[in-house]
Amino acid sequence: MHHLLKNYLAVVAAHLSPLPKAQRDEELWELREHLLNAVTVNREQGQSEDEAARAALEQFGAPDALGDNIVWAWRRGELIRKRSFWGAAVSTPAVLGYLIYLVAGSGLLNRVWPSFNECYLAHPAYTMAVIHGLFFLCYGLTGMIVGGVFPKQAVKGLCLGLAFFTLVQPLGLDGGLCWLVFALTGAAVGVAFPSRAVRIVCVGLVVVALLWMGRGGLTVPTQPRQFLFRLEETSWWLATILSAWAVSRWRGRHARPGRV
Amino acid sequence: MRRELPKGDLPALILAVLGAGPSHGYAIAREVERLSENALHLREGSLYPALRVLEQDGLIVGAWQPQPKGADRKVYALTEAGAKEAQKRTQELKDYATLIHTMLGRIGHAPSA
Repeated sequence: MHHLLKNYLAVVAAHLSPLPKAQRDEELWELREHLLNAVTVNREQGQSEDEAARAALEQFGAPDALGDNIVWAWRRGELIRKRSFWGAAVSTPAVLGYLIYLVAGSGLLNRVWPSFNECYLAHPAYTMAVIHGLFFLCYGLTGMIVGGVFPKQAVKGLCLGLAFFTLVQPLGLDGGLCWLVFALTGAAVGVAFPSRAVRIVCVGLVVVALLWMGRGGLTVPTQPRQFLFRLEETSWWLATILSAWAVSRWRGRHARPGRV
Repeated sequence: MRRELPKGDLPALILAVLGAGPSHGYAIAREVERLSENALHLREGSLYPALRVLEQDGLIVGAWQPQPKGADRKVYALTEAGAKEAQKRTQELKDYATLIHTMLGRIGHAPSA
């Protein structure tokens, strides 16, 4: 390789110090290939080795500016990957929790399968096998949804989210854990759709309310205990809306790496 | 007058050039200069980081192709999302150019559009 190109690459390499070694080596390798291509094209146009190298370096511009541009592009990519990872990790337990709730807790199953209770009494093993199959579908659907919204680092984020869900699941979906699941759901929506998170959450909660009404769950409380439970449910919903709003505001201040 | 391409316009022009077909970086730069009749100068030092960002956003994909002589060449092509984005950004640039021309016409520095 021409000594001018070597010197150029050495100056660029010095500016790439913020990058991890593997990434730095890859960037320098790619830059070297692009430089050599430029030299080849210049030589094909009749230039000498020296002229071709000088012309190629002139085409690429100052090495410090190029190094800064490469670092900027890498940082932008890292930010996108980190947001995708945490978005996937946060949304996985939330999406999975909601889907399992729809199957097991919302009364949807009773509507779709009216004889569920009788079937469970008569054939418990068969019924539980169907339920477990539905839960398996919930896990698959969660993967599809989370992977579709956060495609980069989706698998790593999903694994962390599933690990969290598996650890807290034995606690059961009540009280504080419900509050956490609802808040995580709001946060996940805030990450994915920062400009309309609150609207999406409100529509989702209306759907949940309709399902509860169908189950006969949304009745006017007549006893103090029912009233307290209704307050607790309201706090879960408020947690969803508040976390969606807070995360979407935070995303607005730390805007997604803009288009170039 | 030969001038440096404004950084903000670069991705739109890259997408527009790739809309005509896959191309490698050097060819993209020379095509921009050819289409502008050498009025615009595109440095590879700005081009390759911009190509990297477009790859991060899923608008283009790059693939290394071995060459019979010399170094491997990375050829870039538009994705489906990139084709849609190319149309959108091209229209934005056209609208912006029309707006500036109209404004200058009203101020009286140029004939109105």
